[in-house]
Amino acid sequence: MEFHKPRTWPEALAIKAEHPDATPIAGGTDVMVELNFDVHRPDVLIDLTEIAELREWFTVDGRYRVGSGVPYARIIDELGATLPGLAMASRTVGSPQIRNRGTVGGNLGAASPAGDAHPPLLAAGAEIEVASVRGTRLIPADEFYTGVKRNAMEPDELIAAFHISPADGPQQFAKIGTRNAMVIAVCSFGLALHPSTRTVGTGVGSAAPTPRRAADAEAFIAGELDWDSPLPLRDSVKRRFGELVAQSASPIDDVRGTAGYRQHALSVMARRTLGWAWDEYRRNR
Amino acid sequence: MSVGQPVVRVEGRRKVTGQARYTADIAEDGLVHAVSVGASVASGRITAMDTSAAHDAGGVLAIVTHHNAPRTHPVPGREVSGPAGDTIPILQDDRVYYAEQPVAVVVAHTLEQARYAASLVRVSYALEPAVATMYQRLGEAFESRYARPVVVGDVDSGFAQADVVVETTCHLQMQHQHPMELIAMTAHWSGDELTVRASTQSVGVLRAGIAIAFGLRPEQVRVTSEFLGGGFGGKASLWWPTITATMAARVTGRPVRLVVSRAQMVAASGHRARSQQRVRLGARRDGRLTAIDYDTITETSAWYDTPPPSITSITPIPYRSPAIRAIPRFVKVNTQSPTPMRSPHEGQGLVAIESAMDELAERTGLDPLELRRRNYADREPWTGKPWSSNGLLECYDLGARRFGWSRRDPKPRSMRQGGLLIGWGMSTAFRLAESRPASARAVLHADGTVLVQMGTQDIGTGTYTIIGQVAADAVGVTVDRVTAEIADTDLPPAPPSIGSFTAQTVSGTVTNAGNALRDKVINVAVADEQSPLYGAAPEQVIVHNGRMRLRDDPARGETYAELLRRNGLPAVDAIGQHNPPGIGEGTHGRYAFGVDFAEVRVDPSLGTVRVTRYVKVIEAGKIINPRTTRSQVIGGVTFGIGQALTEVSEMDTQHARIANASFWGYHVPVNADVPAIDAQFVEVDDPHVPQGVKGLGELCTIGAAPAIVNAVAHATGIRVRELPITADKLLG
Repeated sequence: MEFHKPRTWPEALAIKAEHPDATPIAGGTDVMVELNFDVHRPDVLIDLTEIAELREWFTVDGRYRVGSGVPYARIIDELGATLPGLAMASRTVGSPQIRNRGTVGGNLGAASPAGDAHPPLLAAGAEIEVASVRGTRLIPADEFYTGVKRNAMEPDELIAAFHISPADGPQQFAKIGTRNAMVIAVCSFGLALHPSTRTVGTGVGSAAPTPRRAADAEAFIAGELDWDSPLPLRDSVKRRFGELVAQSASPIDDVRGTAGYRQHALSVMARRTLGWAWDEYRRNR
Repeated sequence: MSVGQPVVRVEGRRKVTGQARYTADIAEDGLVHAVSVGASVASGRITAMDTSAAHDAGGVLAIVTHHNAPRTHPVPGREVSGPAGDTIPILQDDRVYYAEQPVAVVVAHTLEQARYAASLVRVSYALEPAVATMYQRLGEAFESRYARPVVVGDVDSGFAQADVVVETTCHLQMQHQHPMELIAMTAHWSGDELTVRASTQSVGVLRAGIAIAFGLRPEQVRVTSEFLGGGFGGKASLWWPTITATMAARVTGRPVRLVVSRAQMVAASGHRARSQQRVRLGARRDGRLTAIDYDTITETSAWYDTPPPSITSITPIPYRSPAIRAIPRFVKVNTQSPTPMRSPHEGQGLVAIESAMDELAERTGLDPLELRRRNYADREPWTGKPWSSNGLLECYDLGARRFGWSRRDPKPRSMRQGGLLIGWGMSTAFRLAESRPASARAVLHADGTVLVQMGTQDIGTGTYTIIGQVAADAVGVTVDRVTAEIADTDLPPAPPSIGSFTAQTVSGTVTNAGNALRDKVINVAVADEQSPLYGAAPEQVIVHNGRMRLRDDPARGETYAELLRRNGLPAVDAIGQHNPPGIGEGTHGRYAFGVDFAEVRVDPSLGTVRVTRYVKVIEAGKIINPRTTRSQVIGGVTFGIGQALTEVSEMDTQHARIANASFWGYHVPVNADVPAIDAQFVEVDDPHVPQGVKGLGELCTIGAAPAIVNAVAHATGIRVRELPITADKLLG
């Protein structure tokens, strides 16, 4: 196995261009597990941990550009107030040790349907910045995930960052596991209220081949919410929202849970998170 | 007195600072590494092996297969110890009985080289049909001649007298011990002498087993094990890691270390077998039992048709009944042999018995605790013998008071808070309190320190610490003067650390050794003309803080150190023996008792369960160390939470392979699953057991799973009969 440890981003992109099959590694919380289980034996590894700019975040025109190597622990500590949905999801990742090492970039690269960061990125309308020696492009989160553990990147591209707007309204994240911590999601759901555009963003995790938005549910609820004189939501509205979210999923049975349970639990999580977020919106007005 | 004090664990600091060296940490000159290649099929024959690529890989020293392995003799499981262990020949022929059974062992200079070369070994099999679970063969259930039915009275006439009959069938899952420390072995031959460092619950069992397998005298084999990172039954017998490490060391002439991977742990030792438990209870309207009809079907391995009682999964009956019938049966499946895990017998069967008792409580309109009080057994139910002691009723009282049980609304789904259903459940706990023959050597040094040597093990429960406490009291010194040396077959022999035997065995043995040493030194003193104690009657001499003195004249005396130095004695030693009656023999039934009270909160929309409050009271005679005991209660209840809610080894029914052989998929409880646990002790005097001490290790787990199962049923009105209780089972 060839092991590269580039010091600079251009150097990393050059190596990736030369070795399109190379596996990038940052925190190692996915890649090392696969190596350990002998699921995956890449010929070339590119260790990105020496590249300082991947561990930085800053704002550009009011949006946050968060380097792909920023670990979950820092997202919680440094960005918790502005990206509450992503911070909530980050708190459910693994253990403190895993949150110190694991990165959103790794979650995106692995593109597992169960990755905890995906639902809040979808709900917030994030974009993924990918780069190669050919240049840089932004991919909207809902076009990023293309199949089970597959994403929209070209073989010579690496993930530089994600771009995300600071929350313009309440955000929520809910996850069910087979125990109360250190667990892969049975299913998860992220929700973001966007009062500025009078829309609601959603993200469904671990209940389809890819993380995905619940577009019908978003359209339905956008037509139901009165942003200017917000009243408590009727149960029937929350239920319908939950049903539409559940319908957007196409789960399977596996060792963590049944398809039927996942759909049911999604509907419950969707109506609850909507209720919590809407109540918060009403309180804060 | 040191016994009874919350003495801090003597090796605790070394463990938490990383200074404690576990088996796989210990370096040796010339050490090489072995990795097992496991069978990829669960049943069949090896038809061809290609080891050429592995041989050519870097650093490889040897590849041991059934073609070139040293020949071994069959090791009959029962003759070595109660638990089974690998009783099939390892690397002796082409037969495969279970997935991941070793078919080759690769030895290389480094672990990485061995692992890589192991991945290059190619094996072809002639596949035979594999039985993945007993449900494929229930009709073939058989009785083992070693695990006999228990019959008391006549159950048919018992049911004829019953006003109420309750019947329930529970399905308990396959689970694995999964201790934090992987199974590790280092084998080192010097001529025909073998030393094995082992992560084991029994240095003696390994020595005996290795000697039989390799045709050696036991004296040619030395086994040591300084620290253990958990065993829970999985490290109590001779399994293939020991055999293959020994073979690899023989073939290469080098010291060989073999550390089993986490994925291989599901095949490298036994497990808690899947079982089906059927219970029928007959009772009068007032709740008094008239008949208990109970049978279990438990999986055993494909070749093991004489399983011992310890893997029957059947529990003794904790209640009085004029008629009891309990029949254990087995079905052979293609898995590694099962073995006791955490708490055999009661730790499994009480899930079914206590579920049925709760259903009986509902049917008779009695409070579950009151029903159990009414059926309190004042004698051992299956023999009629009196108990050596029994504090169960005091446990019930104390536990109910601490938990607030009297405020329980008996109606299921009646207690709610913040949208959550609250459930309260309880269970009786009990477990035999026995010890086994053992000996120990106590040595007094001229500086007044004491060394105790005993071939027992500290499996993480605090054996090093309690040996010091027991010895301190017997010899008459403070606990900080005592050091324990254990887990070495060169030391006086002691039983395996299983069956909750250790504390009682240590108490009896070390007390005898310490008393013998004290008496020997007093005899030196009273015969020494220069001693202030010269001429005194030995029985008039007492020892306190290392100073001997006359009972009635405290001023007349001297210290141990003064006596030894004056006499030019560097040390004095004495051997103590412990020869208890056999298990279940004697005039009394020897058991420890307890009760579990659990509160759960269930989200009715999601079916998720949290254990939110827990009270466990145990009665184990004299508590040697309340601090280490409390730790055992916390660990034991945590096991029970896993058993009830999270832990299951998922069997792929098509290939008879375990699908979640790793911590990513096998979920032991984490901190967030375990509430603060209120551990309480009821102490009773028991003149029939050594020093009044009853073992308690397994008792700490027993009762936890059934209390949680009953709490969930109370919360939701849904009685889950197939563990673990996952969220999907609680959605009506």
